[in-house]
Amino acid sequence: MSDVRSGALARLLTNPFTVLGLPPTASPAEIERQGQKLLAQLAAGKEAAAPYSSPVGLGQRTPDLVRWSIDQLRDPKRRFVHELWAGLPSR
Amino acid sequence: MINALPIIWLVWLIVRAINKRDGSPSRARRVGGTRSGNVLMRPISERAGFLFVWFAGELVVAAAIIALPRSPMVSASVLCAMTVVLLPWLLARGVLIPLGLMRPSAIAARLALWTFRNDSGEGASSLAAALALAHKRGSRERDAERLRARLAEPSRIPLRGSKIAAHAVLAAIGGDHARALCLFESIDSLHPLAGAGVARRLAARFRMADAASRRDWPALAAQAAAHRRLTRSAWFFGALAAWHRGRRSAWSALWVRLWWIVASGRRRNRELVAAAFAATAAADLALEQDAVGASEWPHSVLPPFDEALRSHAALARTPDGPGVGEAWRACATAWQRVFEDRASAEQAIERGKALGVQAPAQMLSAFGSLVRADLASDALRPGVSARDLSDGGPLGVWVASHLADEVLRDLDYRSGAIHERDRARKQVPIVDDWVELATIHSKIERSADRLGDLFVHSAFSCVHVRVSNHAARIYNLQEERAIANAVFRWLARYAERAGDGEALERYRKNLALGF
Amino acid sequence: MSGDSPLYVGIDLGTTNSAVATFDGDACTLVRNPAGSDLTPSVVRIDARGNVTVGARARRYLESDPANTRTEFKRLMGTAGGLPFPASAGIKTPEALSAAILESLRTDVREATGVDAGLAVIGVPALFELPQNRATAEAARLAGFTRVELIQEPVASALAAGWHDSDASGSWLVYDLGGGTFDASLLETRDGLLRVVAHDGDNFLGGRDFDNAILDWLLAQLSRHHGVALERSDPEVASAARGLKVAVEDARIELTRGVRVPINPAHPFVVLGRELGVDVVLDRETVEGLCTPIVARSIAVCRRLVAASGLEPGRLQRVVLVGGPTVMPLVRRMVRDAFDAPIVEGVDPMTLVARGAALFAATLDLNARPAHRSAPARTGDVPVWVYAPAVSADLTPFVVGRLADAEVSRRPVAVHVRRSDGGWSSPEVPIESDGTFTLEVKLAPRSTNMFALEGRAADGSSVSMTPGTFSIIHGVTIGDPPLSRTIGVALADDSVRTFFERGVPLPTTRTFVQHTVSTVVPGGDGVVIKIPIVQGEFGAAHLCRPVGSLEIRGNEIQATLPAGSTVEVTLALDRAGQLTARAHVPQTGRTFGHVEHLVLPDTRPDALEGFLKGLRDRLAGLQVSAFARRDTNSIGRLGDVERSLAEAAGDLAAAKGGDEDASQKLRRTLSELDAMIGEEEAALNWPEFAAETRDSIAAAASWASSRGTDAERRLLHEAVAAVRSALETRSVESVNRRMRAVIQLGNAAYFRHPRAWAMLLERAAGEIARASDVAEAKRIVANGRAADNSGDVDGVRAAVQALWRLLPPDVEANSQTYDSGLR
Repeated sequence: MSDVRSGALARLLTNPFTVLGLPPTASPAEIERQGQKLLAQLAAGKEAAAPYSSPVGLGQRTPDLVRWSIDQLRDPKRRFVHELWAGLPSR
Repeated sequence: MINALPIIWLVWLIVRAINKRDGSPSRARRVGGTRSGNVLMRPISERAGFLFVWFAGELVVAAAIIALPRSPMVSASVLCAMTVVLLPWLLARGVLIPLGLMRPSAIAARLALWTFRNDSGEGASSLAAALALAHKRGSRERDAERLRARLAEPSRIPLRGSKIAAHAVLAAIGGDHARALCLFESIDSLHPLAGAGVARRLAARFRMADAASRRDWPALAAQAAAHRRLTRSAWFFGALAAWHRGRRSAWSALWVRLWWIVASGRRRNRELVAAAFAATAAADLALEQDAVGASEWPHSVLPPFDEALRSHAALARTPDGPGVGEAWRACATAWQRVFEDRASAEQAIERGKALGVQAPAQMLSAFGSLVRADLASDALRPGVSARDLSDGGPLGVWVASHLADEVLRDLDYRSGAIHERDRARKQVPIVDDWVELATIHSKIERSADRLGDLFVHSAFSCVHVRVSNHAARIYNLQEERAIANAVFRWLARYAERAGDGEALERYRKNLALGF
Repeated sequence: MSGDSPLYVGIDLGTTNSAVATFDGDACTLVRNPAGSDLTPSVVRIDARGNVTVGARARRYLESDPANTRTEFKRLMGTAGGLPFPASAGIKTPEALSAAILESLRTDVREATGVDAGLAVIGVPALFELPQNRATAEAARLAGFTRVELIQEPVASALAAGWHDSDASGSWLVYDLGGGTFDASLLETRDGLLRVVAHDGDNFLGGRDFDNAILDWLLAQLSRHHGVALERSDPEVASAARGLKVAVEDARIELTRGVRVPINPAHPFVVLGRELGVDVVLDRETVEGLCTPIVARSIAVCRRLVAASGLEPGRLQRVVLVGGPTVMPLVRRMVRDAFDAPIVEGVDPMTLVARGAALFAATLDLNARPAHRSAPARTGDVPVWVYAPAVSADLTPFVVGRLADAEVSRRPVAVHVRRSDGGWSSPEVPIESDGTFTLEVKLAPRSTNMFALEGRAADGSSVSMTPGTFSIIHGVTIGDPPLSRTIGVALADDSVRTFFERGVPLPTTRTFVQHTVSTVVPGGDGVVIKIPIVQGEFGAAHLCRPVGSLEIRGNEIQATLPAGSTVEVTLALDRAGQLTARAHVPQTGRTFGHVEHLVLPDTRPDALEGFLKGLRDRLAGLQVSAFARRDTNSIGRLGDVERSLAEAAGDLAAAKGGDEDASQKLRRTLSELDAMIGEEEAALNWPEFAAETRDSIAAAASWASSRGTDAERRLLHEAVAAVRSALETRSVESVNRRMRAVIQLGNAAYFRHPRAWAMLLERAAGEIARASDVAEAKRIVANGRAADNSGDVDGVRAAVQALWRLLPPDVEANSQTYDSGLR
């Protein structure tokens, strides 16, 4: 992306929690299930599965993006940073 | 016959007067060149040859007017000859170039000594050919290749405004917008007499159109103000910039439309006008809806993260233009509050430990780096000014320093590459040399306002020795004096701003030698 | 295995032995070779007629015809050279030899199953570098495989060990000691997901080292007994000792059961023109004594891995041992004691990788059996696409389907699914307007679940669909393997632009915008822009290992590219870590994708010797400095480096003896030591540099406060803040860049002093002995002093400048920077 805004825009648009449509408190099992479901739906060409809402506008899911999101959230270090971007919930 | 003599004498006076305004001094040049200052004193050359044609043309016309019997055919022929000889550029611009006739345009431009003055000859004909090529319908590749090859041939005629503009037009035709913009921008740095008005106007229009396409309204407004006396298009772009910057009224809309009609390039500019009025409506709608498709966070976010994330999203959503500066400042101050809030840092670290992260404090610090990187990236957007950076608190100061460091490192490399080439005694085509020098100038210029005096100081210290040595080399050895002179001009400006008296004095001495 | 069930093939292409396994969805089966063994020795022989023999039959010739019988070529994968086979006058690359092994294994599968398998998963060491992975894929292609995926061996082992244990969760260590390589992997299982946390290992540590250690001991015994010097570094001795090595290996293996074994070479030991009798008994105590340091090295690697992952050693749930050498009681004992974790029993360490590779093939649905021909579709069957995971750890995974043909006469409006064992069926799920349906299925644990799909039309009648069935295996799912080494692009200032950090999940792609450093002129065949791709954890590019370079030639660009032109570099890694690279130059509108030299670097012994000597010299300098400063920490670290250099000298001797393996290992060791020494040098130099910087700042500030303008003082204040922040980054380059402004401002103030030039004149006069023309310099000094006496500042300045032209450049430079030592 040559857009000079790609940093902030991409970061909030492609946050894994946002892509998967899950809150940052989602458990690993929920993440796997949701990811597997989205991958199957995208593979089946279900159009309604592609668009998703984010704080910076509508995004479009692709199988690579969903797979990347699942992978990112499997690693505790990466998940921690993504939780911060997704908004640590208040107590 | 008796009446022809005063005409001839008048013409000769005019030519002398042109000569006197030529920046080239009448004293001898530093390097033992083959030319002296006065064009009439030069040995027979292309320029003298065409001047001869011009003279002869004048004589023929005058003789025809005076001596020949009048008839419609003769009058028409005489009129045509007059137009060609007296107003060649009008013919080229009005007829030959729009028809895409490269060779006739080039010939006509060569005759336009008055129009191009010190920038006439090969530069003028190249520019005319390039413009004709731009208007040509159908396949242009072969002609473009040929013209490129012609321009690449070694030439005794030094590089000046028109030839630079010709290279820029060719680059634009080839799709290399960045190179075209760099070359057009560089024309402004030449001595006023080293670049014909034609080239300058073309450059100004291109730059303003580019600023408009990037929605850089502050830059567009500045350029329009600077070029008002040069081209009518500046009035149109100025009105457009004012419209986008908030001056919206029925009268402003009319002003925009009026100047659109008067300015050149109406077809191209129609889209800008339509977009301006359409964008207003859409932007208003978007502001109301808070961006189409955007959603709030689905859960309650820990403060002050909530405010910071909201402002981060708002900054990402804000289109380039007037609102960006304020959005940037708000984002920087919101994140600064997050970095200073210990309670939320502790809660975040606790969460990290619960996830099994080995060093959560380190990851939190890495997160901070990402925030800074985003802010630095967004600080380059049109609409973010030096004031926004200084008002952005400690983060603003950090971003300014970071941006300065990036630019300084880039300048280091670029000037280093020039220095290495000099050491190895390698040469590249002069236009490429000029692109590199112009890029250095442009980088400093673009950042100077945003990053302040210290940056200018540092940038000048970084480049001036290598660049000035190189400029001296191309002046003395390659006789490319106009562009060397341009380099000394901006070096002198920066030397003054940086307070380096010794360097300033040196550059002033070089400038006094003229080109 | 029924003809209906899938066939997933997994291969362990080992240094010493290879194996192949198949998985049909229920059970993993090892495929036996014609000799009836699960293991096929990784040995290839080519006779004079060019006949290729593989496995145990080839191994018989290791002693008698070593020149034409090759083994342990796995470690040479990815290197440029080939191995000669004099009998057939041929040269074979390591890939070609591996292809021969793979072809043999493929034949075994065909014999056992009737399937000519074109798809398979092959295990590779986790720390295999990119050229080595590429070479493995190439070998598979030469062997006739149409599609091959690579899996890291420890991951395969963990998958095999944990397949039937999907309920367990926690961290576990895979300790994979093969014939030539050692891999340690830390894995985590949670909710049926197996994830690799991190890798470590040593590409030059394995059972071979045990045998070498024992062989060295044996040669020492024989030397003492026969009074002749026998060193393995002597090429003649090394060649003659091949037969002894085989005997040593056999004896070592026997000692896993016994306590004393005589060494019985199959052929007489003839060396240096003499036949030497071998009458040596090897006992377990001796073997354990010789092998303990080697095993200790492997345990140190494991400890490093566990520490780097932040896991306390006591928190390991279990350890899986993989590889033939791990059957040694010593290894099992030392590993168990080091980590206080139970060792997984009941698994065959020699075949775990092959089984795991077959299981992984199932997760990728790499079915080697030709597409199943179900009963031909009947008229009226509704075609449907079904998307279900091949393997699921989740007992209730989602299945999504889509009607393949929207225009059918009897379009179903709802579907439901029945499990073939009758244990479960789904409720009816409506088909949506876009023809898709999503439903959850319930799996029976730890088995292959077959499901039948049925549709219902609007009128309530049943609609049959094709394909009418699908299957899902309940087992362990596996996270994408992490990248084992950081990959980046080397930049002109010797730094590395990191594209992929170690540990990032694969596959992955990244693009960065870089800039050319010099002007590039078109024309000619030569390379004009080189983009080196390197692998390694070092910050300095020259310490990382180059794995390839993207090269753009002069005849590929049409116009001059000015310095600073942008180049968009994209690197992509697939799941196996295979790299593709491309560079897009916007100015030319072209994209270049030609990657050159994807081989491991050359390792000539003389170059390595020079490298080693250079490191010793630098180390000596650092040690002197550390002792002078009484820096005990540094002394300790440098002591470790010295010990490592001494060990490296041993590898140098072996490398000179023709041991290519030792050469590669030595090069790797020396690079690591180079980095360590570099860090010590930087740590030593930095305090001096920082102190000098502060002195320069103080001097500039002093001049600015006495002679500077308000504007200069303000700017200096900002400039000093910028230098301080650059000092925190510890980047010499960044500090020097910021210091220019400080020096400039200080100079501006300095030169306002009425005696500034006079002071410089005296300073320069003090260096007059270094002038190129001393007499002229004296004359200039005299003139300068005269000008000073008469108050002629310009005259003094002219004298100083003239004097500087006669003196070495540092004199002027130091004068401008208050005698600073900044470079």
